[in-house]
Amino acid sequence: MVSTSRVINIGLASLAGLAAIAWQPAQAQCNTTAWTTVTGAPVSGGPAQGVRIYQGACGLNPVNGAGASLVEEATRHSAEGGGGAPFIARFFFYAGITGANPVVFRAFSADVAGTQVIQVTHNPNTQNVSFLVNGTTQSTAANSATNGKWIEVTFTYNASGTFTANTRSVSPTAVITDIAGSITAINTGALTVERVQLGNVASGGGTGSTSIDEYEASRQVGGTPATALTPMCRGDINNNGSITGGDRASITAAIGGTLPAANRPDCNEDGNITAGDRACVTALIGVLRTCS
Amino acid sequence: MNSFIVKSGLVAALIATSVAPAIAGDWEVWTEKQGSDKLTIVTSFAGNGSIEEAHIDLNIDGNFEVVDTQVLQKGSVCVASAEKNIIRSLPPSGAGSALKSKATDTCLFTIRMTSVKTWNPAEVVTVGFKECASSTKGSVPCDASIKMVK
Repeated sequence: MVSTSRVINIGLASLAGLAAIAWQPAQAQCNTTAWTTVTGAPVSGGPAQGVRIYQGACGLNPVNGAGASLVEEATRHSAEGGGGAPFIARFFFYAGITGANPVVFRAFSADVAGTQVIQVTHNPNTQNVSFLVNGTTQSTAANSATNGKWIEVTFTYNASGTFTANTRSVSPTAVITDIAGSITAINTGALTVERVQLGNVASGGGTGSTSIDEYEASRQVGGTPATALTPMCRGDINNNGSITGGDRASITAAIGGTLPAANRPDCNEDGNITAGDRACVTALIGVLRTCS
Repeated sequence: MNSFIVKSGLVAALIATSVAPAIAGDWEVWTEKQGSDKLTIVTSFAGNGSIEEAHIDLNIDGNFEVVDTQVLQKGSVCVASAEKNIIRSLPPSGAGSALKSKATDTCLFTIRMTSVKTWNPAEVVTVGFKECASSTKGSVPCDASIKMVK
């Protein structure tokens, strides 16, 4: 967190100090206390609790079915922004629901209630992501957010300006290939983002389950621009800036339950941490993939 | 490997030399000049009883082109790029088990030097990166030495 441009990473791991100790058995206790509101009893945890993780030891599985299951962050933004200050954010959701279109993210104009400003929905039939902003919906290309994969969503919201968004996920057929999705910019209204919800935030439905992890946001405060979000390098499991044999060892450790806070062991982003992720790292090493 | 030995007696000798016992936890990089412009490189790794993953990237001092890349141990990563100046070797993942302590040849590369007129094979090859790791200990120290077949 910085003093002017705020970066909030409330990645669902409350005991970050413990989780950050590398090569020690995972002792993180996952909970949702970092969020201001929890609705519908989503489950926080890690693989041992049947919860998918993208990074660290903890993720969030919203409860699917009737009603919303979500976490909400509101008051942290109450003194920030205003006017045309850009709000940038990133989060990951697992595309695991079929038979319904789960709304995985919403943003509102006030800490309590307010008007919906942004809505992000996954479409399992067309396997893409839709963004609803200021009454306009734009969707990424079909098959750009395939079922059974983590989907990375990044967006920039400028009040009285434009909204832009991108998605990224791993090809279901070629593990070295990332699929990028984007939308045409949407004109925004004057409302600012003051509250966000992540999870299965609408009515639920369908079969399967989604997961949420690694929400991070930043916005302009005063004259200081929003802080750019640090790119995440797929395959750099131990988060040391390169993709090497050591990352395979980190996957082996993760399979055994060691999940340091900075590690991202799900190389193929299929929601499971298995030998397939080691093979994924091997494939990326073999094509000389770098993090730059 | 047999077919390769038939193709090149020189390289067969190179491989035979490289499987000599190494200090545990070491990369050995064997180089041999062939003719005026070719260089053969064999990478070999010996574990120390705890190393599960090993990785080495070699760099070449001078312009070169890749003539041939061969995997000497099934499941190894052997890749060479003249454009990126990387010659990369990884033995198969131990996947939680220690790699063999006996030196085992991983990859064989043949490159052609294209810009250096006079060169010494032991001098044009340098270690750009090396890493050994264990799932329980994290990064584990290991050495790498470059040797020339005489």
